[in-house]
Amino acid sequence: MKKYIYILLTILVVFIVYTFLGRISPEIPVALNLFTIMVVYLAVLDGEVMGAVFGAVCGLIQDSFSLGVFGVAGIATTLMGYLAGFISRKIYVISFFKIFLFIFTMSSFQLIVWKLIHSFVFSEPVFSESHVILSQPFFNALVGSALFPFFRKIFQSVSSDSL
Amino acid sequence: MPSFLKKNKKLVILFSLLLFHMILISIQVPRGKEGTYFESFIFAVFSPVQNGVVALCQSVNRIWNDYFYLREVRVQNRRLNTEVTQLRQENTLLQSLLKNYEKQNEVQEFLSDISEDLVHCRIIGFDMSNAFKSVVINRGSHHGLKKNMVVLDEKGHVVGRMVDPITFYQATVQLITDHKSGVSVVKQGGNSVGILSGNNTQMCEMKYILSTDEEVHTGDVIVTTGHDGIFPPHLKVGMVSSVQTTPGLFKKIKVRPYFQVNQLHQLAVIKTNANIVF
Repeated sequence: MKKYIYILLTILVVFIVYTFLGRISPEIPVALNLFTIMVVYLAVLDGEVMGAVFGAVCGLIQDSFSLGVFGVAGIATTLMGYLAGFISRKIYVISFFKIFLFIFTMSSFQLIVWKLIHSFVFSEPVFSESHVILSQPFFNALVGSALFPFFRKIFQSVSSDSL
Repeated sequence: MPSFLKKNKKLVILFSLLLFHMILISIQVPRGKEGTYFESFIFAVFSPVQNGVVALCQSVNRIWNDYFYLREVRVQNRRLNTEVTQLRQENTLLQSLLKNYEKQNEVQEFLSDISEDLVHCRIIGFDMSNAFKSVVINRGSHHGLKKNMVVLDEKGHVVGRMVDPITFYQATVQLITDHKSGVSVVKQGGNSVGILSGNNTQMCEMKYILSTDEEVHTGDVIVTTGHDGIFPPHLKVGMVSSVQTTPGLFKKIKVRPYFQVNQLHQLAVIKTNANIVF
């Protein structure tokens, strides 16, 4: 139970940080997707089901604060969350460089899926958007891999308490 | 069957979630651009958080500025800035509209109307996928805001229009730089009518101007025509930054809007239905 409260609080904190970053510059939340980082974290630490469920929630929040069809980001983040959980069970992704590469790959996957569905739904070219979003996998990987040890400690302490 | 579900529990959860999203997307088809209740619900839950964070940031900023630096001057300056902004917005609107009102009493009546019909607001959030698509403002249906109301910047230039979701105290504004926006525009003082559409960057494109048309040039001011029934006529939208003649039927005209997304702070919404007033 404590773990789920902690996850809800995490969503709230990510949203607050996202708003704060948007105040600094509106392009920062586009280049750095904190929701994606958190979905990868939880998928790595808790498995593919948590990744998919948390991905669905985060994707729908992003959709509600973005113009366009509601649910497109939800699908992309759900798939990414599940895949992140599944792959992390097969390979060891705890070290800095591996987590960097892992987040980069997962963010790229999410971006590609989102772009493809978006282009299909709106019948527009894949690269019609501002190019800032293309830097998202790199910045996600950079920030995500730097913060991962810190987040893992918090998550593990909460998980052990709940058990 | 239950053993199959038990064995593939994780995949079942994944496909259930994907199906849920598919249903969400499907139910939007008959509704058109109208938002779903579920989307409005999520927006209503999280937008107050955004409002709170922005208010907190502004309070901290204000305390710092007011108490540590030139307290009196700052307060006075802020008040005057707000006043100037309001006057500029009213002035731009009035200048463009005075042409339509010949009788003095009609002008007086309109002056009092338009002043009451502007709702001043501030931006509390930007679109998560692209900052040039939409912004979230700290005014909503409680302040009388409705879908398709026109939004202006600090100087009275067109920024966009209200779209769903709109909650009691927050609302979404579709910017004219959004790929899916469309505004009926014309060169100021000219006759070449086109459609201004965004491309999800800082620039917009003025479409459907014939290649044989010689009226539009770089540096021309682009204003609204009012033909779309949403944006009132004569409002300034942007300036032509380049005109290219293509082998096709139409010219490629780039228009730079007067506002810059990262410098937008205060906005004003015209509450009155454009078709009634203008």
